[in-house]
Amino acid sequence: MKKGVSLRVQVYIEGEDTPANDFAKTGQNFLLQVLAAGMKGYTGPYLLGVKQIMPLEGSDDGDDDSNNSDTEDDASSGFLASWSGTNSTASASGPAGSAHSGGTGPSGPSGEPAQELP
Amino acid sequence: MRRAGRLVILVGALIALLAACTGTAGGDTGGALPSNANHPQPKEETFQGCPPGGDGGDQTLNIKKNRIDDGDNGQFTDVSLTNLLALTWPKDVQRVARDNWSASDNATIAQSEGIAVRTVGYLLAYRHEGTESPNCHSVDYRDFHMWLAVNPTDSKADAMVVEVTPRVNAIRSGWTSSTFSSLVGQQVRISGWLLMDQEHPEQLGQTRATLWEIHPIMHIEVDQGGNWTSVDS
Repeated sequence: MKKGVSLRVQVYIEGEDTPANDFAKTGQNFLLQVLAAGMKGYTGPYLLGVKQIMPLEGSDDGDDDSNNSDTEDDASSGFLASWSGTNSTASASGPAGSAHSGGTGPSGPSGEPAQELP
Repeated sequence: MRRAGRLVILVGALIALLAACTGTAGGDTGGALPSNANHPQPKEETFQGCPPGGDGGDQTLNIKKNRIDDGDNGQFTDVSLTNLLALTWPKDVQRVARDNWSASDNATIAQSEGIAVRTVGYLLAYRHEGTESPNCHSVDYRDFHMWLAVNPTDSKADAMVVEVTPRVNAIRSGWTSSTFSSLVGQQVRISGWLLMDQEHPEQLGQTRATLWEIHPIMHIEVDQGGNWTSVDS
């Protein structure tokens, strides 16, 4: 039986960058590189495609959104793994990247374009 | 009799004027948003290498969020929180980048946006935001979201979001997490710039009552013995 599932995943990407460089785009490209590299090394039976990537910004509601909340540590908590630049050798035009270069999708929360499969 | 009536009115007006001048604390004070208010050109700066437009997103909006000028020549217009919460906006602007707004929508928003306002409400909660394009996605310099409501028992769904930006925070000593924490549940007076943040309509009725914000906040005052006192001091 052929099956499929859509999974919503929230990732956090952090690193050094020049202030004015659009880090939302940098992060999106990096994620595509990581996925492409992962798919390159994967030999199993499943296919993976990224349907949408959009930056999450300015959210008023979070899991820890109680009174007096200060989510100072939110930004870096939740890291289960980290990748260095050398781990993400596949380019954004690799298998995962090429699957998403189909054009500009709907705007993300901050008006930034989301990447979406056509 | 007529003279006595006039005298009562005159004394009442004088008391109201004195209260406004001396910063006497009170309830949901302030009037309506004036139709003839000034809309000063924002004063901007590059902060920690981050330009006023940030590093992406809606840069026209970011420039407004990143202004640092202290009111209209230091003055802020008193507007009741109830009136701020009642401000409307054209739904066509929601989630639409400002460069794509119609001239008509731009004109409608511009009637209220960019006015230096001052309002009173209860601080329901605050939150140190995540990284955002106005702050060039800096991990170290992030906004504080605050929820301001008419009543202390209101929920966030009834509240207006008012925000502290890193650029203003940097020139306001004492604006720390612990200060904000101590203000939760208290009546505060907030001065800052009226701004339409069109990017979060999905939060309406959930964690905010309006897309209008006071952003950035320029002054925070608390009621001390019946007088408004800056939290800076």
